[in-house]
Formats: sequence, structure tokens, C-alpha cells
Amino acid sequence: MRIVFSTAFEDITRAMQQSAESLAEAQRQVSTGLRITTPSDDPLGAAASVTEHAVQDRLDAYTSAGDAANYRLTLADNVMTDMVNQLTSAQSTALSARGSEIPQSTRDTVANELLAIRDALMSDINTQFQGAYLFSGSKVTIAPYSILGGTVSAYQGDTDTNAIDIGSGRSVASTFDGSAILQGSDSSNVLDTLTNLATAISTGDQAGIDAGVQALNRAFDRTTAAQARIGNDEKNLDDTRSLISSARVGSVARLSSIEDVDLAQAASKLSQADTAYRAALAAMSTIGQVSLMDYIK
Amino acid sequence: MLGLAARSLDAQRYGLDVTGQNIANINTPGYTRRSVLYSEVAPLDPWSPGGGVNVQALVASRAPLVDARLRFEQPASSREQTIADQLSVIETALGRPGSSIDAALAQFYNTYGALSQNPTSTTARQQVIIQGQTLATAFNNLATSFQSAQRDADNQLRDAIGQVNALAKQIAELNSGIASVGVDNAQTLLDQQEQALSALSKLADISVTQNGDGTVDLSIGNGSALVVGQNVYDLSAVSAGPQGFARVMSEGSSTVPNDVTSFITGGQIGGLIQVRDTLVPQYQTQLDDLAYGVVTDVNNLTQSGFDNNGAAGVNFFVQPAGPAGAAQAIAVNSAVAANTSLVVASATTAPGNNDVARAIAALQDAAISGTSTTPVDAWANLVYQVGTDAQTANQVQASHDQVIQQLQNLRAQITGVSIDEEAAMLLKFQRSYEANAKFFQVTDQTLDTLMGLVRS
Repeated sequence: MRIVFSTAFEDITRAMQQSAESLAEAQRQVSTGLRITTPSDDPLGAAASVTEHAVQDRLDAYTSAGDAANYRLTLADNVMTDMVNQLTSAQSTALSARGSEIPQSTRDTVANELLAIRDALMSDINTQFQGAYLFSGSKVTIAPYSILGGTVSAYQGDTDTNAIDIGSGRSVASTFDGSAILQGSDSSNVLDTLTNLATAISTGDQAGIDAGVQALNRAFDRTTAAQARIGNDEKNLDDTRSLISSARVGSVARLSSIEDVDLAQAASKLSQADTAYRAALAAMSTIGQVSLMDYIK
Repeated sequence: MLGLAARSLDAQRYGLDVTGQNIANINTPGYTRRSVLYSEVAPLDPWSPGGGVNVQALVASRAPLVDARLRFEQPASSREQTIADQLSVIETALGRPGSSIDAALAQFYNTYGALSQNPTSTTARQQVIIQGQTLATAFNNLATSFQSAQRDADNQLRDAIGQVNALAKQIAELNSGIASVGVDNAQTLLDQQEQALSALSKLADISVTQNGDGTVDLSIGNGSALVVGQNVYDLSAVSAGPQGFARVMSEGSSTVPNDVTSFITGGQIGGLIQVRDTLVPQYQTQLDDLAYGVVTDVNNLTQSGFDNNGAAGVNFFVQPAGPAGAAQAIAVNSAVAANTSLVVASATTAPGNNDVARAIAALQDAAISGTSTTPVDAWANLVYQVGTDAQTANQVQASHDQVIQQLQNLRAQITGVSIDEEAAMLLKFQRSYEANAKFFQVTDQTLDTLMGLVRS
């Protein structure tokens, strides 16, 4: 093989460029910690990375939906607890006014207490979360019940309740049907029942008091059943959040294995590339140092 | 005798001149090493030893087979290099996973999820509009990037056509020069010819016919003549189609220009045509299909629902007529953008219902209508496609480059200048010159002796 002047330089120049390129790539990997910068570095990895990022975005959205659902359910649960307490108090208060020997003044006091409980229940069922009514079904901008001149309105919401998606195929209630709790299959809602009960106690109408107390018992049952359903949703939410949390950890690990460089390997490559580059530089400086020309006198 | 000695001195000095020329052109691209071919001058009569030495020819060390092989490999390498260069720009436009259209898609759908938590919230509705606009802008920008990649390729193609014409003209002129001085006296012109052919083979796949007189004829595409002897048949770029992209036309030897665009598959021109007419349109179609699918599925749901005032829902995005151009055209319906109440979340006339908002948020998990891929998967497919095309171009180019490298080394081994060899030649011609000079001196002294005899 003839060794010619130009190829010797070209070969080593090319080797030097390749070494410099490898060194720059190794330096980039070590400094950024990323294995893929453009899709052509690893097309399959880049596509998998896109999918994995989308999975994480979705899980993050579910997490934030779960947080919102949690606030709503906790609030609804607290409202139910208060309503149960109010109804329990109404039951015992009403029963204390039962019998013909109760003086009128006591009956009037009890009647007033029942009206106060009615107002408290009204306030409970009209609870809002971020400006939207929780117990109006999907008519979140309209209060479920209102009172005008001592007369309680009919249920103004609807029976169409909303749900929030908190995970793939998992949802929890975000609004509730107020009439199902306060009225159910009864002919009147518990607010009217309390108004009528107060009148019955005031007038000493024993049959009216008995009917009112029975209606209160049914309202109590409906409220505790509604609270149990909310409790189920809270349980479902907790389970789902835990699943999402572990799914996210898995996704982060998968994404890391796709995108991130193995630092030990990268550092070793960097060292190799550095050595190769130095060798190429050294070789370049030795080309053509000696030739027959040196011996021509 | 003195004449013989003087001719010999000239011949050896010519050897020194050629060595000097070799050393001078040690770094000249395309220069092929020259050497002198000497021949003995035959004796005039049986008693004569001979007439000395003659310079018979100046020989260039050429490697025609390697040159031909290089011209064969060069277009493929150059084509892949061009594709890789063009695609690297497109790869950059695609953005990083998790911060490109995939992120805009996820955020758009997820703001509908947030709206479903509070369907009457003006803030949540405003967010949906903002994310819809962000998504539309991301699609618009990428579609624009694809179009400018096509335009860039087209501009480069037009430049390359100009370069082909300039090289063809140069080769025709060289043909003329070589024919007039004869192939044996045209070493410099032949060096230039090889350089021009090599440059041409980087631009396009050209067929080269070597003629016996050292000239070459060239044809391009489906055999359309480019250079025949001293005649050049220029290529021209004719704008055609809706985008006004250049078609490569060849006059050939006929009077009607011949469209050779689809026949040029190699070289920079072949690569540019591949990027402009095949690859980018393919990516554009994938992007348009994705944009159209997203828009249509969202609009179908918003039309099925009701706005915050209980009125029938309107399209959230402007509905394009078809997938073609959808990515460039995608925009939020201006009526919706101006009025948050028109954002549809409800499946009933009750504004608080959130069924449509939930259904739109769930679109991200479902296949786009009429396809089997989710929106993010469709985007991942596009990223994969561009990545694979660029990677393949890089790999193919690297493998062709290996071959080209070896061929160039082989060529240099045959045609290149070696310092040691030239130093040896210097010594050889110097010593020969000294010996001939000594012969001249001895002859002169001999004649002097003879003339002395005559004088005495």
C-alpha cells in the first residue's frame, strides 16, 4: 500500500472529528442526564416517552380531580352528619312535647325549636361548594329549597346528579339529589313536616305530632342512607388515589428508564471518548515529522 | 555526442520538473501524480550505440475503475445526508416528548375534566378556551414548520439545479479542450473533469459514458441527455402545483422539455425531492388526520350538548371540511372564544350537568373516531415515523460513507503524492543529471584532446 501525504492527514482529521463528536455526545449525556434528545436517537424510545408523559398527565389530572372530589365528599359528609344531629334533636324535642298535660308555653317553645331546626336543615341542604349547590342535582346554580313568608318552596333542583371521574372507569358523586334525602317517597319534604309538626305541637294535635315524628324517623333513615353512600364514595376515592399514586410511581420509573442515561455507563463512555480524542490529537501531531526529505543534503 | 548529452540533461531536468510539480500539488484536490515515461532514441546506423534518451510521455496515475465506483456510491450517500439534514430540522420542530403537541392535547382534555368538576365555573370555562387555543396554535405552528421545511427543500432544489447546469457547462467546455489537445496532453483537464464529475455525482445520479477521446457524455433521469460532447442540455425548474414547487425539467435532445423529477432518486436533488414530495407530505397527512380527528370528536360532543344558558351546543373548534389542511386551519370557534357561556359541558338543558365535559375529557383515552389509535398514540406514531426516517437516513449514509471512505483511500493510494517517493525521485533525477553532466564534461574533454592533436 502506498502511503500518500493527503490521506494520512485526512484519515487522522476524520478520526479526530469522530472522537470529538463522541466526546461531545458523552459530555452532553453526562451533563443533561438524558439519553434521547431527538427522536432519531431512539425512535421507539421517543414514542414510548410520549405515551408515558401522557399517562403521567392523565394520572396528575385524576389526582387533581380526586382532590376536588375529596373536598366535596368531605363537605357533603359533614352536612349529612349535621343533618342527622338536627333530625335526632328534632325527634327528641318533638317527643318531649307529646301528651295533653304539657303547658302551652312549653309547647310554644318546642314549636319554635323545631322551626329553628327546620331552618338549620334548610341551611344544610342549601350548602354550596365553590358557588355551586351540592344538593340540587345538576341544577347547581339554583338552591334546592327556599323559604318565603314561612312557606318552604318545592324542591327546585333535579334528580340528575353529577359524577367526577377520579380514575379510569371510576367516578364518585359530585352533586346530590336533595329531594331524595329530604322527601323520598313521602308526600311532603321534612322541612314542611317540621313546620306542620311545630303547628301540631303548638295546637296540641296529638295525631299530627305522631305523624310528624314518624316522618322524622323516615327522614333520619334516608339521611343516614345518603351518608352511607357518601362514605362508600369516600372509600372508593381513597382506594383509587392509592392506586393512582402507585401507578404514577411506576410510570415515573418507566419514563426514567426510557429517557434517562445510565450515569455510570455515561461516565465510563466519557472517559473512553476523552482518551480516544487525546490519542487522535497526539497522532495528528506526529504525521510527516520524518521523511526521506530530511536526509537530502 | 554533445547533442546526445544535452538531450539527456534536458530529459533528466524534465524529470526534476515533474517531481517539483508533484510536490507543489501535494494538496491540490483531484490532482493525480505524474511520472515521466522515457524511451531510448534508436541508433541511426549499426555502428552507433544510439541517440540517447527521449521524453516519450507524461503519465498520470489514474484510477478509472475506482472513480466510476465512487460516482456510483456518491449519490446514495449524498441523498441520505440531505434527508438526514432536512429531517433534523423537522425533528427539532416536533419538540420534546411531554412538552409538545402531546402535552397540549393532554392539557386540553384535562381542562375539560376540571370543567366537569365545576361545570358552571366561568374560570374553568375560560381555561378550556385558553387550552383549546394553545392546542390549535401548537398544531398551526407545526403545520407551518412542515410547510417551511418543504419550501426550504424546494429552494435548495432550485439552487442545486443551477449547480448541475454550471457543472454540466464546465464538463462540456472540458470536453472541448480535451478533444482539441488530445487525451495524452490533457492531464490537467482530465483532473478537472474528474473533479467536476465527482461534484455532479453528489448532486444527482448521473449516467457517465466515457468516450475513447477522453471526453464524457452525461445523461440524467430516464436517460435524458445532459452533456453530449460540447453541447449542454440545461435542466430547468418549472413551478407547478398548488404550492408552486419546482419540477425538474430536462430539455434533453428533444425540443419538448421532459419532466425528470420522479426519475432523479440520488444525490442532493434526489434527497430533496424525497423530503419535499414524500416524507414531509406523509408527516403532514398524519398531523392533519390527528387534528381533524380531535376537532371532529370534540365538535360532535359539543353539538350534542347544551351551553351554560341551556341552549343547544355549538362547535368548539371551527369544523374543517376534511382532514386536508386541518392542522393549519384548526382554531377555536370565535363565538365560543368570545363568550365562555357557549362552552358546552352539559348533556341536558340544566347548565350544571357535566356529562359532555366528562365525555370530552374521556376522549383522550379512546381511539379517534374511525381509527384505532388514541390522540396521543397518533402523535407518538408521528414522532416514531420522523425519528425512524431520520435514523435510517443516518445509518444508510454512514454505511455508504464507509464504502466511499475506503474507495477514496484506494484512489489516493493510486493517484496521490507520497513525500518519500518524490524525495526518492528527486535523488534519482539529481544523480542522473550529475552523471549526464559528467558524461558531457568527459565528451567535451575528449573533443578538446582531439582538437589539441589537430593544433599540434
